[in-house]
Amino acid sequence: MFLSDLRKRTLANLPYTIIAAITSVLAIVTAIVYVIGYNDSKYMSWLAFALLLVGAVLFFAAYCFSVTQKYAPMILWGFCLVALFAFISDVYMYLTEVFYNGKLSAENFSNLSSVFVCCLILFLLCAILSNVCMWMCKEKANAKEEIADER
Amino acid sequence: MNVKFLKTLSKILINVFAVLFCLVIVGSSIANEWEGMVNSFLGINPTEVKEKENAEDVDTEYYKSNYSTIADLMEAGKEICAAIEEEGAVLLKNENSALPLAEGSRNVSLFGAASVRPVYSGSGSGSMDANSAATYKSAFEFAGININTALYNWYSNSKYNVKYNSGVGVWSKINEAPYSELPASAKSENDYGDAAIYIVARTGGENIDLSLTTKTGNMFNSGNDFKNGNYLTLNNNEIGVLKALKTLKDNGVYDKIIVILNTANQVEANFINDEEYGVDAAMWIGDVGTSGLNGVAKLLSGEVNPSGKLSETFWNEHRFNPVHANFGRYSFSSGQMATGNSVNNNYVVYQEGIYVGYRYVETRYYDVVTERENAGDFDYDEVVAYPFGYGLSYTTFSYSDYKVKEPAQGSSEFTIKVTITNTGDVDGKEVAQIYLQKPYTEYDIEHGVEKSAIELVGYAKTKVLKPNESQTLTIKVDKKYFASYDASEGGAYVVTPGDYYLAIGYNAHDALNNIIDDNGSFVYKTTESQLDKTTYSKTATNATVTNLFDNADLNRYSGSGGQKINYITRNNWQQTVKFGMDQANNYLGNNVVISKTEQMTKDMKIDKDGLVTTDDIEYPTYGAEKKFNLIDLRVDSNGEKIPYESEYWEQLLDQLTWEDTVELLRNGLRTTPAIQSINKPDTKDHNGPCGIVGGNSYKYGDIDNNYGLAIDNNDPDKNKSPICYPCNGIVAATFNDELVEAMGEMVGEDALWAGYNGLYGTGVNIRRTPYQGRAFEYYSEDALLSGYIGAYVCRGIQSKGCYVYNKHFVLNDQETNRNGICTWANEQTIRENYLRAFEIPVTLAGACNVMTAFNRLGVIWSGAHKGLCTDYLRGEIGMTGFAVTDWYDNNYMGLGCGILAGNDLPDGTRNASELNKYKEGYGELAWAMRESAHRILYTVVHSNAMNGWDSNTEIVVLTPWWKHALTAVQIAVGTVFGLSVLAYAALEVLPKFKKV
Repeated sequence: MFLSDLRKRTLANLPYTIIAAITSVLAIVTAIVYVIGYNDSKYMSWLAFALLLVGAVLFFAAYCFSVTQKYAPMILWGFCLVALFAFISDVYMYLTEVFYNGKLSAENFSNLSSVFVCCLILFLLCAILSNVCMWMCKEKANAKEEIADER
Repeated sequence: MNVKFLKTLSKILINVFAVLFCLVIVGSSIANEWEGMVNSFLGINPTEVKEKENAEDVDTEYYKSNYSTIADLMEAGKEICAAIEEEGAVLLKNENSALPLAEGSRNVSLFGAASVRPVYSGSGSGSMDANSAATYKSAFEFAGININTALYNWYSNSKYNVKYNSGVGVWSKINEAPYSELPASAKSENDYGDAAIYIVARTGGENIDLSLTTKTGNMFNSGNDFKNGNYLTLNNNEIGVLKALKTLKDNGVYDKIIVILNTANQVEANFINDEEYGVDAAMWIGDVGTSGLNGVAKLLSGEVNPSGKLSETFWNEHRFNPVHANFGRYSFSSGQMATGNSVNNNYVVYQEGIYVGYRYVETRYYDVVTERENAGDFDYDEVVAYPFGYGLSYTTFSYSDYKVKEPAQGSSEFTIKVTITNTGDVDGKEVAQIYLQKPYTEYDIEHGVEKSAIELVGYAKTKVLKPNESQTLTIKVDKKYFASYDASEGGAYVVTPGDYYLAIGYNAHDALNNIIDDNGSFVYKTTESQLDKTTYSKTATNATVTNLFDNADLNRYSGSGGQKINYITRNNWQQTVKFGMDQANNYLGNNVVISKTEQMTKDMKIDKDGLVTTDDIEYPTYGAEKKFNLIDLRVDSNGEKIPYESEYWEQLLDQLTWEDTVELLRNGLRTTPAIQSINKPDTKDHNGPCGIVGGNSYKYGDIDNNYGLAIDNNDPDKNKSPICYPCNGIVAATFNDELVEAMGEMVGEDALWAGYNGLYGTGVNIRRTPYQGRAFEYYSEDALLSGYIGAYVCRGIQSKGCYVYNKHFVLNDQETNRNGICTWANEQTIRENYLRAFEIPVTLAGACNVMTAFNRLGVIWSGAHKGLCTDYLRGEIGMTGFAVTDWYDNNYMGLGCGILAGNDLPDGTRNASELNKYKEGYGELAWAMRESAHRILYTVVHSNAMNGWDSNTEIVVLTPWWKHALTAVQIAVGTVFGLSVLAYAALEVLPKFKKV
């Protein structure tokens, strides 16, 4: 019963489900890449790491139940967004080291570590995609409500 | 409006304001953390200074400038900068009288991309505004040397004219033009054939060491153009051009080849004497600063005669330097090349002990020549291109009447006199260098004490001597240098029985040969008959000398888990000397391997807050009735300095509240904050080892406060950048105390004009290897020379009321993994090779402050090392000022434990809660905090920060406008965000209520 309901709800908004699933997996991947790249580093934010994992888990949990399903992307977005800023809050000192002379020169950019660039892109992707999910989910939900209202 | 529209609107608002809210929260937190910098950037002075009504008009300009305008100041600075280069540049080779360029033979061609992009300074804290600096073209033409402009223009317009940070950044490539691409006009007979001058340039800087091999390369491993990964050897294009120039010389196109080494990081010098390249003359000019090239031009034209002496050994090839077996990335886990940037897992071992630079090559040479057992194979001429202290002149000098007078009763100083005569045809200056040889005895072998066969103990420089003119120099040498540190049995400075030699020589090698040859004219022998462990058991401050660094020596550290370091010993060179790279620059992996023990892991935690424990000690008095303003404790009614130990200071410190103390000790980001209760002004510090410099952005008029003369006088040149001086290796190579003091005074003048009260500098770390990124900041491979030159520079700077933070205290001799790196060295090495450079500026020049280093001694962060920051710094050498951390790293540095150990301030701004948690139950820390406040206040009151202050001056601390603005924005954004959420929730819920 639960599974068939879940299946029905999933099929009802497949594109959203796919992107949401990718995003939540991406959040986990980001957390793993981040911890590998920055473990034991002065720029490691364990808060950001935890938020990504908790966000992904809560998303899956909320998605499973029809009552909470529509809040699932909101949760994911919230956690991803705060994680992004937690990451920034701890890593910005690194940027002050790379751009120590205050110049946004090509030479300074070339000194950015690939780990930093990779993590930044992943964090940004998580925040953006989770936001997109929220809108996709809501639009579908709104459409259903509107149809119901019209009826 | 329908519900759908309102829902969409509220959703958009939620999205936008959620992001904004996060941004504002994080941004505010960062801005508050960097309060001082933000204020500085916005030109805000967070304090207002007021004079009481009817105050008497008294002269409160305690430190006066000798200049009335920035134009005059800069002119004088440029002259000193050029003078440093004139006296510091070292003439390495001069065959066939290639130099100076004779009148009528001054049409030259400049080769090398660096001819159009000179290396002025290092990057990071030493970077400077190169826009107004002298160029090779401008300097040479002014000195009457005509350059091949077609060739110069070709380089200028070529792709090889890549300017990194206006010519001062670290180069990711050598980027030299290959010979094949050079214009044809330079390859055939032309009007500029009097000399081909080839400029070899390298640069270095903060945060990155230079690459030794493809494996150890820490910089730009991919895509570089170094030969076999070695940044400090000629690359193929450079070799190609030099060889081609030799052919052109042989064909009569060029009369001679002159090489200029425009680098603070010594390039392997074997090519200079290799016949394949046909180099006639070579000169080391280092990084030249703003106007150093003007000095270089004068040297080449012969207007000035070179008198610089090498401040480090010039190696033929760096593979011969055993330091490189232990320089780079080593992690506890693997013992090999680490990849991460961990603050807890990296180490470096000073396995070479005291045998750095000339101490290694000369001692080994001595042991080979004197056929000491286990000396091994060592070919001095193969290893050393030019010895420490070496430098040619266009004239010749003779030494005579070398006399040494034993210390008089009650004194510990030998008085040495020597007469130096100019025996050549042109004016010139000469340096008298005095070296000491101590006996290496059975006692030393038994107790693990090492002795260099020769060590610099004194020097002096003549005035300009005309041909046949003589000058008798007097040099004082402290007998304390006869003692060596013996870490066994608790530790003591020990003079062992045997023969001691005080020798003079043209350089370290020459002095040693005088001893070997028993040349009585230049060597004085004195004999100690018995073992003396007591004479130097106490310092001038009456502190008893004992081991302070057992925890930095793995062989003495209780948590070593039985691991040992096999230090290099002259008792067995053969077995203990290891090298880092082979002839083909392959990394040999001969480093010391250390595993992290449980005890090490445990001891590392001391860095954070492990040292701070609760106790029952009563807290000091806070908030006592006001008796003094800070300015009242500057001098007494007789104009005498109120001593540090005065009771008045206790009374002033009683006036401080807990909150005042916390405020004072948590804000150290190039500042100390204003304290209203005692009317202490805020102060500003600058970061720079070569002057008040820091890239193009640093201008005289940047600091908009009450103290900078540039702003106060509204000088028309306030938007110009202060002078950058040549790299400190060249400063040291002048061997001229007076000149470097004058340079220091000019830096102090710049500080007065720019509004700075303190300077993060000078760099008195030791040039352990030329691959150190920050070699340009450090004076020498020798601690005594570093200490003396540093002391005189320091004295000059502080004469203008700008307190100096000598840095980086201590053993911060590599950039790789500098954050938290565990540095292992034995106590003799730490004291004799590294701490001596910090000691002399304090004891000779009253250097105020130090900056503690990123690294750890053993596993204890230097700022939390009580033996270093309290027992040594305050106890043994008597520094009264304060210690600031290097760039504060919260991952392993701790505010409380730093203060308890004697590190007074963070180079950062920390939250007050980090100290407020100790408000009760931590009496020992509270007293340490009071002492830190004492040191800071004592230093500030004797600085130029008090210019303009008297007893009638008051301050009002203001909250800057941006803080109010940020609070308002937080409230506004938070409110809109909250309202949007509420609106959305209401729109979600209300329709359902309606339905019900």
